[in-house]
Amino acid sequence: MVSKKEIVFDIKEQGVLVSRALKNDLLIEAIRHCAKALKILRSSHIPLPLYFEFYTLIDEKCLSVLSRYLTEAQKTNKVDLNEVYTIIQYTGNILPRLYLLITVGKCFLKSNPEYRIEILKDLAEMTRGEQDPIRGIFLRYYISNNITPVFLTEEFKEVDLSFKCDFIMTNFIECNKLWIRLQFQGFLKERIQHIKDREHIRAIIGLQLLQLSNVLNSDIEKYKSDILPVLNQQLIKCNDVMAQKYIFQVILEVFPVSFHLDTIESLLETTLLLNHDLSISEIVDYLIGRINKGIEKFNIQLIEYTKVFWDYLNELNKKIPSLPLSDFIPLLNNIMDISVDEEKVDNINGYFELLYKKLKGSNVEIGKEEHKLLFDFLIFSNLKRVKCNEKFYFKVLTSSSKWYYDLLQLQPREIKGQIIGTLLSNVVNSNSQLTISSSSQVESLLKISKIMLDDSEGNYIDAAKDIIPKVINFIFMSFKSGTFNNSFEITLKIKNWIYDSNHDFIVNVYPSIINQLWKLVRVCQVIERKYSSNADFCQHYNNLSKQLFRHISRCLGDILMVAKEDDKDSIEMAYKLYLNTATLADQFMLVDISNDFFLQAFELLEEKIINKSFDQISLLKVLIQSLQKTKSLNNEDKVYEDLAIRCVVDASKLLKKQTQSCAISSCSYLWWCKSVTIMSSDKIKSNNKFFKDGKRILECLQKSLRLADSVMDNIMSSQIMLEILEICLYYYDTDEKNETHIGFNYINQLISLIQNTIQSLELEMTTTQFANVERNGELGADKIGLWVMGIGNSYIPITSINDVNSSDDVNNNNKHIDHNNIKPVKELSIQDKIYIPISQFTRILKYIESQKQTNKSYNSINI
Amino acid sequence: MNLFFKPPVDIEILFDKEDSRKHVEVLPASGSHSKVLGDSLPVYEDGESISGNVTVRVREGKIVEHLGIKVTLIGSIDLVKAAGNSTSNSYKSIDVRKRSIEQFICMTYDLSPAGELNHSQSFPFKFKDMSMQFESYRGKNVDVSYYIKVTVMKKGTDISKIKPFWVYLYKDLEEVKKIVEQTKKMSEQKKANGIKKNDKDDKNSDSIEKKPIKLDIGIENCLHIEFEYTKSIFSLKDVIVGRIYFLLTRLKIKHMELSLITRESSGLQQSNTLVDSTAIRYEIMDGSPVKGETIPIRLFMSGYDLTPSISCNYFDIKNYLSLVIIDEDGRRYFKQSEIKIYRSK
Repeated sequence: MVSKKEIVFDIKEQGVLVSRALKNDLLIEAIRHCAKALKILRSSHIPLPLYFEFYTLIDEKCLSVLSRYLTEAQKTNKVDLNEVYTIIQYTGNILPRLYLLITVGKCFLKSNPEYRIEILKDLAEMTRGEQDPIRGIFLRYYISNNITPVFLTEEFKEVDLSFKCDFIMTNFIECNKLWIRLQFQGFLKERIQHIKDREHIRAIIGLQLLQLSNVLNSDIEKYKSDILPVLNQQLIKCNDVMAQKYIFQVILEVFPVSFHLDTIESLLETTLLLNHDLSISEIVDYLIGRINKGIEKFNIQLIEYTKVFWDYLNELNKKIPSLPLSDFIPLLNNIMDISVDEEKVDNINGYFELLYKKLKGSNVEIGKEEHKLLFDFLIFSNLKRVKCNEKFYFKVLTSSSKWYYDLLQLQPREIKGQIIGTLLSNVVNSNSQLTISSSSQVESLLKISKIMLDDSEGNYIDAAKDIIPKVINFIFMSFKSGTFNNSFEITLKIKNWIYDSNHDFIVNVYPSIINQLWKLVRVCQVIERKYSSNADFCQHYNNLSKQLFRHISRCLGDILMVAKEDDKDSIEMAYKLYLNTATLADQFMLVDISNDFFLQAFELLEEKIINKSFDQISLLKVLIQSLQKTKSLNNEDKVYEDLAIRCVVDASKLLKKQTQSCAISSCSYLWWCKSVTIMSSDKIKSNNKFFKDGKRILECLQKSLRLADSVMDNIMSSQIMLEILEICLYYYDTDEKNETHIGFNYINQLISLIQNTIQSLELEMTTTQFANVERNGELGADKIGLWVMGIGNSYIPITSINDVNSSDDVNNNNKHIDHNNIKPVKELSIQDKIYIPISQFTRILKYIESQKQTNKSYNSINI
Repeated sequence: MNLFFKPPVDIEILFDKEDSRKHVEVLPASGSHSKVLGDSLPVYEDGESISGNVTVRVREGKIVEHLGIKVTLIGSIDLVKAAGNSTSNSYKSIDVRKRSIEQFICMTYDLSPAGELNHSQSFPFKFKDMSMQFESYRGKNVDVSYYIKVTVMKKGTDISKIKPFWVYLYKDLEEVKKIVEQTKKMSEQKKANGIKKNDKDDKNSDSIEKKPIKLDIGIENCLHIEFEYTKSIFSLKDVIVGRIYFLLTRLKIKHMELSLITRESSGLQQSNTLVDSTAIRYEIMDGSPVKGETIPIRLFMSGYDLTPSISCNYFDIKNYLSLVIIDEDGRRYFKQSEIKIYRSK
C-alpha cells in the first residue's frame, strides 16, 4: 500500500499540474489531472480519517481551483461550460466523473439559469451510480458543500421551493442509506470499527437536514405537508437504531421549535414505529428537552400538550406492549415531568395507573436495574419541573392515590420502605408551609405510611421508628381544619391506626398523640371559659375534656402494656406523662382526674421504678415538683396531703440510704407550697391557703439528716448534708413566721456537723496533694475544684476557658477538661472528688456571709 | 528491392481538392509490421463522384514505352489469408495479410492508349456518382477498402499505383429500421419454415427504434437485475440511456461497467472467425448496491471511434452493449445485448 505521505504528495503534485494547466488555459489537461487526483478517492483501503483528509486536500488543491477558473472563464466567455460538461462525461471512472460533474455543474448553476433545473436533475440522478458507502457519502458531502449553498443565493430565489427541497431531500435520503449500509460492509469483525466510522461522519448526514432547514426557512406548511412526512417515513423505513436516533435528534435540532409544536403528534407517532432496540424514552426525552429549551419565547408551556403525550402513552401501550420497563419507566417519567409540578398533581394518577397495569401485565421482567428505575420513578427523583420536592411529595401522599399505593405494594419490601421513608422524611422535615385541610388527606397519608409499619421482617424498622412519629407530629402540626371535632376525630383515628397497625410503634407515637390530646383539652377549656354563660355548652365541653383525659389514660395504659419490663425509657416517659397530665388536669381544677393521674404515677413508681435501677431521685423529684405545683388538690378531701404522704413513704422505700436521704429532704418541699405565679389568663380562683406544715418539714429534714449521717461514704455523706443545709437555708430564708422550726440554732448545729466531716476530708486532701506533688513534682492545688455535682451521681466541670488554656501541662484533669463533659463519678480522681464537697461548703459559707450584710437574721448563724 | 530496381515511371494520384476534404485517421492495418502511424485518408460518401488527377513521371531523359494507362476504382472486401477462403477469384489487397475476396466495385477506363512517355504527363479522371454499398472498414480479419488504382501497362510487368480513400455511409433512421426489419423477417421466416406471419411491425415501424431493450436476468439466489436501454438502434452521435434495477443482490459488487463490444465475424459461413474488440469501457456504478436501487446508465457515444453495424455475405460487424458486474473477488458477470449503430449525418 502506498503511504499517506506519498498520496498527499501525489495530490499536491496533481494540484500543481492543474494550476499550471489552467494558467495556460489547458482545460482538458487540468480536468485530466483532477481526475487523476480523484482516482485516489476510489480506493477502498483508506481509513476514514485519512479519506477525509485526502478528500479535503483534493477539493482544495484541484477541484476548487478548477471551479474558480471555470467561474472566471465563464464570465469572459473563454469556455463553453456546456461543452466542458459533455467532455467530462467521457471520464471512464464514475467517481472522478461525478466529482467533476458536480464541480462544473456548480459553475453552470451560477451562470446559466436556463439549464439549472436540468443540471440539478442530472446530478441527482447520476450520483446514484456511486453505491459505496464511504465514497458515496463523501460524494454527497461534496454536493452539499458545493451545490446546496447555491440554493440560498439571490439567483435561486425564484426557483421552486419544492424542487430545492426535493433535491436536498434526495441527497439526504441517499446519504442516509449509504450511512446505514456502511454498517454492513465487509466482515463482521469490523463491526465496531464501522460503528466508530459511522459516528465520525454522521455530521455529514445531519448537514443535509440543516441545509434543508435553511432552505425551508420558515415555511411551516411546506414542512408539515411535504418534508416531515417524508422524513418520518425515512426514519421508519431505515430501521437502523443509530440512524433513527441521530436523525430524530437532528430533525429536532435543526428545525425550529415552532415546527415541532405544530407536528408533535406526528413526531410522537413516528417514535412508535422505530426499531424496538431504540430507546423510546431517550428520544422522547430529547424531544421534550428540545421543545422545552426553545419554547419560552412562544409564551406557551409544554404542559398544554399534556393530552397529546397522554394519548401517545396509551397508543404506545397498545402498539408496543412489549416495551421493556427500562424504557417505559423513563418515558413515563419524562412525560409525567411535562404535565406535573408541585402545583399541579391532579393528573398524576393516570401515570401510576399506566405503570401499574404495565407491571401487572404479562412478560414483565423486573431485574436489578428495573428496580432501580422503579425506585427513582416512585420517589420522583427525575422530575425536573418539580421545584419544591416536599410540596410535591406531600401532594402525592395526600392525594389518596390508589394507584400509587398499589404500585408501592408491588415493590419489594426494602424498596418500598426506602421509598416511603424518603418521601415522608422529606415531607416532615420540610420548611415550606404544608397544610392538611381534610381528613381524607390524613387517611391517605396514613394509608401509605402504614406500609412502613407492616414490616414484619424488620428491614426498615429503624427508619420507620424514626419517621412515623415525625409523620404523626407533622399531621398534627399541619392539620388545619378548624373544628374541634375534626381534630379530635383525627387524633383518635391516628391513635387507633397505630394501635391496629403495629404495637411496636405505640411507644414512639403515643407521646405526640397524648400531646395532641392535651392541646385539645386546652382548647376545650378555652371554649368552655369563653362561653361560660351557656351552661349546656359548657357542660358539653366539660364532658369532652373528661373524655379526652380518658383517652390519655388509655394511651398511657397502652404504652405501659407494650413496654417491656426492662424498657426504662418508656416507663419513665409514661410516668412523666402521667404527671404532666395530672398537672394539666389540676390546672383546670379537675381534681378527681388529676388525683387519678397522680395515683397512676405513684402506682407506676411503686411497681416499676422503686427497686429498679432507675434514677429514682430525679423521678421522684419530678413527682414532687408536679405535686407541689398543684393548686386544686388541696381541698376538703385532703387529696393533696394523701398524695404527699404517699410520696414520703415511697421515698423512704428507696434502697440506698443516700437516695432515701436525698428524696426525703426533697419531699419536705411538699409541705411548703408557695404561690406560684399563675398565668394571668387563668381565671381560676386560686386557693390562697397554701399548704404549709412546718412540723412535717422538720420531720423530713431530721429523717434525712439522720440518714445522711449514717451514710458511711464520707464524701457522699457530706454532700448530702450540704444539700440539706441548702434546703435549710431556703426555709430559713423564706420562712418569716418561723413555721418550720428551722432556726439559726438548727442551722448552726448542722454547719458544725458538716464542718467535722469536711475537716476529715481536708486532711485526706492534703495527703493526696502531697502524693500528687511527689508524683508530679509540683503542687496541683490550683488544678482542683473544677467539678460540681450533677444529677444522678455525675459531675459537671465548671472550668472556664482560661483554665483550660493555662493548664498546658499534661495533667490528669486535662482530659476531663478538654471534653468538657459530664462524667460519671468513677472517672474523677480522688482529689477532685474530695474537693467537691469542700468547695461547695466554702461557697455556702460565703453565701451566708454575704447574706449577713442584707439580712439581719443571718447574723445569728455562726460559721 | 524497390530501392535497387527503381521503376522507370513514377505515378502520383491526387484527388480533387484533397486537402480541403475531411480526412479520417485510420489505424494501420492490424498485424502489419510497419511502424507507420495511421494513414490519414480522405473521406467520401455514397453517391459522390470521385475525381482526381494522375501524374505519370518519367525519369529524366528516359523514354518509356507502354501499352496503355488505365485507372480503376476498386471496392473490395479483404479477408485474412489464414481464414482460408481459397476462392478462385482472389485479387490483390492492400493489406499484405489479407486478400480480396470480392471486388464489389471494379470500374476501369483508359486514360491513355498505348504509346511512349518521355516526359511527365497528367491525366484527370472522374468516376461519376459512385454508388458505394459498404462503409470502409479496417478490422482484424476483414477490411473493406476502396482505392483508385492506376496502371501503366507494359510488356513484362505493369507498373501500378494505389491510392486508398475512405467511405462513410450515412443512413437515416428509416433506412436502418427497414434493414433491421428485413433481417428480422428473414430470420423469422427461417424459423417459421416459410409460414408467413401477419406482421404488424410493418405498419408501426416507429416502435422498433423506440422499443427499448429490456432484460431481466439473474443468478439464482444471488443476483437478480432488470436493465433497460431506452433504444436498440443508435446513431453514432447518440447517447445510450438506460437504467439498472437491482431486485436482489447477494453479491459483493465492486463495480459495474458498461462496455461496447464490436464483434467482427468473418468468413462465408456463419461459424467463422469472430473477433471481439472492446470499443468502450465505462464505469457506471461503484460499490455494492442493495436491493431496490436503481442505477442510471448514460453513455455519450460521439466521443468514441465506433464502427457502425455492417452486414454482408462475407462478414458482419455487430455491436453489443455488455453490462459487466465485477464482484470483490474479481469475478465478472455480464450480459450482452446487441444494438444497431448507424452513421447519421
